[in-house]
Amino acid sequence: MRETNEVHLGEMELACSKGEFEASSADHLRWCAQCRSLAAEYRWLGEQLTDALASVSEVVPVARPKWRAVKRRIVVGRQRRRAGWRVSAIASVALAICMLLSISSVVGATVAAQLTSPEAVVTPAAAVTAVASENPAASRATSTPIVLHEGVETPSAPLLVPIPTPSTSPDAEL
Amino acid sequence: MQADTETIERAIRGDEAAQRVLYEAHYAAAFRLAYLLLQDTCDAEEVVQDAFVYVFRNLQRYDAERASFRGWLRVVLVSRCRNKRRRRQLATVSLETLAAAGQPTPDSKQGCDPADALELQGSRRAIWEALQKVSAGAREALILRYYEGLPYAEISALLGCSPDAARARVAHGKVQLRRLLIEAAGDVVKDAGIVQAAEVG
Repeated sequence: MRETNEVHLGEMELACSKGEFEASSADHLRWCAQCRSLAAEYRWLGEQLTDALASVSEVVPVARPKWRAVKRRIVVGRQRRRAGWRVSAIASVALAICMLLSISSVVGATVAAQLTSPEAVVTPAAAVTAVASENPAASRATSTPIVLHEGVETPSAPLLVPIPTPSTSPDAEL
Repeated sequence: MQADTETIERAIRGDEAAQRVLYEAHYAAAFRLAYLLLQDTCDAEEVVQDAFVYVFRNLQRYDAERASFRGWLRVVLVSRCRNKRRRRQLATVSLETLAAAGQPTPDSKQGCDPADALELQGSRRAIWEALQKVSAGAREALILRYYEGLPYAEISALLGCSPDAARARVAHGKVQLRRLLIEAAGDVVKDAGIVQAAEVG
């Protein structure tokens, strides 16, 4: 027997079955009687455990097999699955129809907007008369109609666009 | 094996008689394994039925080249047993709370010692009783190793861990089991000593 201060193998290592030890552990077991004894104890425990479990399984009262119950559950499950498929198929078709309808309405509106020009409202420049009464020169100006598109606010910009005309004033000739 | 393959093929095609043959051939073994894993006949029965229902519903997915029918059933069964145990642990907490409040729990009326019911004797009884106290993960690994005789690779696949982890679980279970047996033996010696002292006194 070798006399060294080498540390003994851990219990987890010794609890392994025979033939599962690493090379270094197997070498240690060859000369260490203490570890060998503990390893043998674990081996014995494994055998006893196998026996105990086999005995329990032999004497355990096995419940009667209930094929009908299993069959019923299989059939019910199959029916539920079929019903589920049907419901999901109907839901998918309905969803597809809704999507088609909404897409076609959006596309239709866009195409219609492109084909027809937007409605225009022509408002006369009502302020022209008022301005002309104050300023005679303004009477020569041509009023420009303001074209208002629906939804667009009336601009607060000047309503008169003076058009240059040849001067007939005698003062101007001078 | 050949007969089993033919029966499975017939069962896949929807032959009810073949399905029944498979069920009856594998039921007892499945029940025993479920009982060992759960230590309760009602739970074992429920879990076995669940496993068979799953297997028959998904029989078309079975690949004979990958595993035997029993192996496939075992995978489903162990998974169901683990789920059942987890759910039971949750239920146990509430029952413990109930018991702490002084209310009788449903289990308290029944005989609690399975070893009594199983009429086990000697070291087998001691080992079975000690096994109940081993941690759940290690107990499952011990049962799969020492009852089913599975290699670590298969245990690891069933428990969802690496083969090294499966080996460690088995070793850890054995270490726990040994300590529990030593403690139990110590208690027996102590009790014997008390009895002797009382007799002498």
